[in-house]
Amino acid sequence: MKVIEADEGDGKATALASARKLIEQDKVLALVGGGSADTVQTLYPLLKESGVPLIGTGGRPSTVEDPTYLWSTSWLSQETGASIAGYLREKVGDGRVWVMGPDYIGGHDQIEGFVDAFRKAGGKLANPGGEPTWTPWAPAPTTEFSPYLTKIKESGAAAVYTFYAGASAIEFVKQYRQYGVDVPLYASGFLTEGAPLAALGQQAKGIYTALNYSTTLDNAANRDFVRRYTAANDGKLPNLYHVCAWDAALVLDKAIPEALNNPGASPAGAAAAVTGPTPSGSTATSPSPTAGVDEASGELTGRSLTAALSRVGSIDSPRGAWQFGSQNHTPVQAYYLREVAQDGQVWVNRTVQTLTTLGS
Amino acid sequence: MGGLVTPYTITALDGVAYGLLLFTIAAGLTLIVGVAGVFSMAHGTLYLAGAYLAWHLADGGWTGLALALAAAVVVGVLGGAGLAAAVRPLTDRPLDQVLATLGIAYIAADQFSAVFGAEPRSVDPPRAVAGSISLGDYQYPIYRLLFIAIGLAVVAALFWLVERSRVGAVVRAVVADPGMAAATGLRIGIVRTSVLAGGGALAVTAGVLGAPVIGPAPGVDTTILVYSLIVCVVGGLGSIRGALLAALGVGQILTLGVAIVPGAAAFILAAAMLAVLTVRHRTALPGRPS
Repeated sequence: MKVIEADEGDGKATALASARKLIEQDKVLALVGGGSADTVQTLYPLLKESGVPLIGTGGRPSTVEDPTYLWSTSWLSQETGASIAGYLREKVGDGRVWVMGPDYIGGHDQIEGFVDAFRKAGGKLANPGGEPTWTPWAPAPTTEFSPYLTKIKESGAAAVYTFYAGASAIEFVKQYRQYGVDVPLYASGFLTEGAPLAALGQQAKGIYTALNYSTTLDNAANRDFVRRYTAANDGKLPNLYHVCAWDAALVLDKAIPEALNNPGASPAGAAAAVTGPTPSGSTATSPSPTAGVDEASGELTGRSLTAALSRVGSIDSPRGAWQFGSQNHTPVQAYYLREVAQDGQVWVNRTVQTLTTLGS
Repeated sequence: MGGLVTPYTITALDGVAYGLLLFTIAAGLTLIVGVAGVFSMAHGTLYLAGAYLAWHLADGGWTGLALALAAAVVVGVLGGAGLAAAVRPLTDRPLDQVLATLGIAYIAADQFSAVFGAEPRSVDPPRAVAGSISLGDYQYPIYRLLFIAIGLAVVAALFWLVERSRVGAVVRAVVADPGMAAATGLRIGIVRTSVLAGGGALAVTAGVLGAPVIGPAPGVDTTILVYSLIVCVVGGLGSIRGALLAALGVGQILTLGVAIVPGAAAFILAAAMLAVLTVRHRTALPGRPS
């Protein structure tokens, strides 16, 4: 097995050039990675043309019509909000929920996923006009939340649901505390993942979020994964992006033997190629590798591997076992309710309960 | 007092704090552009350097803040002088200066990520001013109130420096007519370098003071640059008065504006800029270099 790395860049021209080189020059068997949805969107025509599958580990655009060669170990953006909508509807009873998020495509996917499912469950929004509030993304993502926070206090909302990531997440939570908003805060898990949680610490205490992973999940695969990851990374905790990349390796580990053993394959040493983006700093997603597995002799080709991907069955992931959905090729996976709490010296997203299973 | 404290007055107060922060950042740039004629694309970089200084030296007390402020002046003067040296061979070639400073900004951004990491950081002000106080039914962060006081002091100091002092007279002379100023014996090169150094020191200091409001993270340099350029252009290049009005206006638009017309939040800043620029173009406000 050979792994070749290449740079994904900002997801457009660089990603395409890297993928072309991997497919045409290195003759890889599969690509792994794609930190941003842009990368997946850009590479898609190339995958169809060359018959090389992409195991996507990050952003997954909702606009892909025929995902034959696209298999994602990540999630669909709408699912995070949808997973917690029913729970929150029961929690607030007849109360209304104030919903706000950033005014860009990712923010709309996240927030509308919640709003659609929440309305279906009979919930009502506390915002003026009953529509979610969008905060400016241009010319720069807003970090001034006080105009909205004072309105939340006025609205008599029973809860707030939001989605922010990175620097916006830090400022949102800080100001939520500074301006004394005492409405319970619920959010997409990215509000309290990784860097924002480390920066906020105590200030994030008691925030409830929904996500398809938490480092505190109590299963054998996760205990093993967290132990080995922290040992190899100066005690740092893994996050969802690491789990998705790890799962891509698990998927290939099952798919390659499947392709070789099923229809009349000849056993041969395969070579894998991983391409990694250099951290560009401007994207919110963490860098994840784009990988390829070298084409070897015999029956192991991009197309035979693609066919085998639909037969890999259940993946024993740190986030709990999941399998590919037949429609979108995204994981059918559990989403968890998590609460920010202290565990010794560090702040973690403590798993409270399983919310629901989503995926298609 | 209860009648005065509404969501809108709280938000307007925030607009003042934010506007004064923008003024502190952009005042240096408007002088750099007006006096030295350098469209420095590295101005946001200097702010970010200050914000990282504040993060690195913050210890929850006043000592950390004082150290950070002292370091900010040194870093700002050196950074400004460095920029002046870098663009000196490009005098009278404004587009080349833009490219050169943009390149410096990119390299610096990469270095920041390498040294401080790509994660966004949170900076807390000294503990004594870290909490919030009650204003009627609302809470308001003490540090923002303090920042309003600091911002007003910066405004007063800059106005005195530029409009009342001898140094200011020299600076205004160079803004108004560099050729005539040189003919009267002023050494334009030294004035220009000094303004870059002074503007740099102001930007890095603003980064230290502003870090609890706009914290250090990759991309903050670009955000700050965009807002600074908006304030400079709307206020009129080289005009401290114009920069103050523009900064307070942008501050209110970003706070009160989005509170009053939330649906148009993304557009009102652009619309307001367009309106100001169109009107000023027709009336040619005095007090700015032509």
